[in-house]
Amino acid sequence: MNAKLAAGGAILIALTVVALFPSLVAPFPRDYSDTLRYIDTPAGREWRYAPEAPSEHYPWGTDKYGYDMLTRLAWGLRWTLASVAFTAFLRTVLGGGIGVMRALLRFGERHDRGFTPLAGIPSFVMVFFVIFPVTINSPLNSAGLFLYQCLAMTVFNLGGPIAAMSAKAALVLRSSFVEAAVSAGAGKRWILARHLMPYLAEEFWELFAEQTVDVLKMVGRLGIFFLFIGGTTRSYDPPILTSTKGEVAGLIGLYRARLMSSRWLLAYPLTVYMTVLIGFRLFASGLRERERRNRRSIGA
Amino acid sequence: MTTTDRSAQAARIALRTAAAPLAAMLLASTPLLITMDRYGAISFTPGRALATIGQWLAGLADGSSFMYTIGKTEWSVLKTMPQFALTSYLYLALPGAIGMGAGLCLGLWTGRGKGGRIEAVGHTLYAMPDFVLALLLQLAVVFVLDAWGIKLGSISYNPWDGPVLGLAVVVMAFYPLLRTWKEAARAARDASASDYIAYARSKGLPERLVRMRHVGAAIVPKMEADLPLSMAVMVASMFIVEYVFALPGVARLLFTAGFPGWNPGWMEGYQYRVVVLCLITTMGVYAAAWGTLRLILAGVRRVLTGER
Repeated sequence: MNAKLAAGGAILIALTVVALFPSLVAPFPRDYSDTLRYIDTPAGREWRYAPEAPSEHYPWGTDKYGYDMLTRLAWGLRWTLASVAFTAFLRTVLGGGIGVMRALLRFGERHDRGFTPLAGIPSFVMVFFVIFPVTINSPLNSAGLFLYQCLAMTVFNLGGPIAAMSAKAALVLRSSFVEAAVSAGAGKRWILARHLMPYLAEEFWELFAEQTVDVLKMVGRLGIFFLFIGGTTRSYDPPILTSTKGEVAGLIGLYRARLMSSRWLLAYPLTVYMTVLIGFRLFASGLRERERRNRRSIGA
Repeated sequence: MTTTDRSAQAARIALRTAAAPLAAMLLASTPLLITMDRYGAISFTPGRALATIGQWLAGLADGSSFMYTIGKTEWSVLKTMPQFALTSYLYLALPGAIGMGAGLCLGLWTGRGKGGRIEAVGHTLYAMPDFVLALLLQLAVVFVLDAWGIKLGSISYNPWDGPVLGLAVVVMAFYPLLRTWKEAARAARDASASDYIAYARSKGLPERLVRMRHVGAAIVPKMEADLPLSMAVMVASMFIVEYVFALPGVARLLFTAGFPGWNPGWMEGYQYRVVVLCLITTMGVYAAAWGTLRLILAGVRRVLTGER
């Protein structure tokens, strides 16, 4: 195992532990909030109002509704990790599978796609259109909404995984041992099971790792536009939009307007988000490196 | 590529271009496919989406499809859209050209050696999401303002005739720069190891000339091939940059005028008319910026090789 893979794996394991057992790091119960409190000092009683800056009592501060940021982020992390891992898994299995089949069925064909104006609409915008009607004050339960959002993030991003796996599979199909198998009468099913998949197993892992980084970016972009994984809660009086589950990337979008004041509200979600990103990135990079070494060792 | 291949590709591009407005109409109608009543019950309403598309098509004749409202004021897309499109185009093409130019120079420079750490740093930075970069830049400016008590510039603005916003250009140029750098360095290394470069060197040509005429010329086709992917990244960043820095471009218009009732809001304020036109215009802006960058790359190639 190389250093990047080890470091990425260690970060992801630590984050997963926090996501599974948030009470380990969260200093307060999940829905605890305190907008007004007092502390007794030698100078007398001091009143503290939300949002509170980071202090001994609230290590990462509170938002303006008195929610402790560390508690909120610890509980929200599971939604970030789950959405990233599940969507990346779906993209890898569906996109990768279709890519391999495409390469297998169109063996030898050239595909030059050229310019297309449709590329002018980014995939996260398409996902935005699809999830917008059901994300704000969603009537779906948490699991249903989560599934719907993950499916939307998968369907509109299958192009990349399909193209990547198709290209990699085509490369293997062009190799001499596959040609020899074909000339010896091997059918497509045989080639897929005995020649393609053993070579592509590692590629699927790498594709999964790359997709995690990509999904994390998409979740963050949607959060900028107030569409959060797990739902957006809208209250009418006062009119507020907030992240229902406190998903980490969503909190960045939610608190980005706090740039001029209460900067900890933006700084801590950004830090956690970047830690998640670095973890996935190192993991992906480590897998790539391992694959390169493996190829070198078998002379491929 | 043979003449038949070229004709087939041209036909495919023409077909996709013709299908683009249809795709925009369908995409803009997706929020109307699902309706939620006041009690939270969801129903699938394709009829509503189709009726809206029909109304929009009918409205093209009498001009009503070109009208939208912001607050209580009614605007015509025909009058306002060119300005929004121009802003988006400028923030796409200008930073794209700057980023790709700088990436080409960096690639030529670092492509002489093995690359090593400096390229690894660039590669790592490329993974940073655009909205994180935008927010970090804004945070940095705020910290500098606080620390020094001086005004370096605005971190977001909204005037039509203001100067080009520096931070937005930095974010937009960041990704094409890093992507081009990576591709150019790789292409430069590949080209440096090729026979014709060795032959040019053995003939005693100055190193600068070899790098310009031969290595540089070998990089440009790779950049042209990579342009669709670079553009895809840039367009995604454009949506974020326009929204975060409050730039008056098409992407921002789409979210502010198309979904006016969402903060706080729901579907009652959705303006299909302006959304579909924003999507079509975005595709047009993308095509124009793509064409511009292709022309610039062709120009660069001519300058490097001395071709006419």
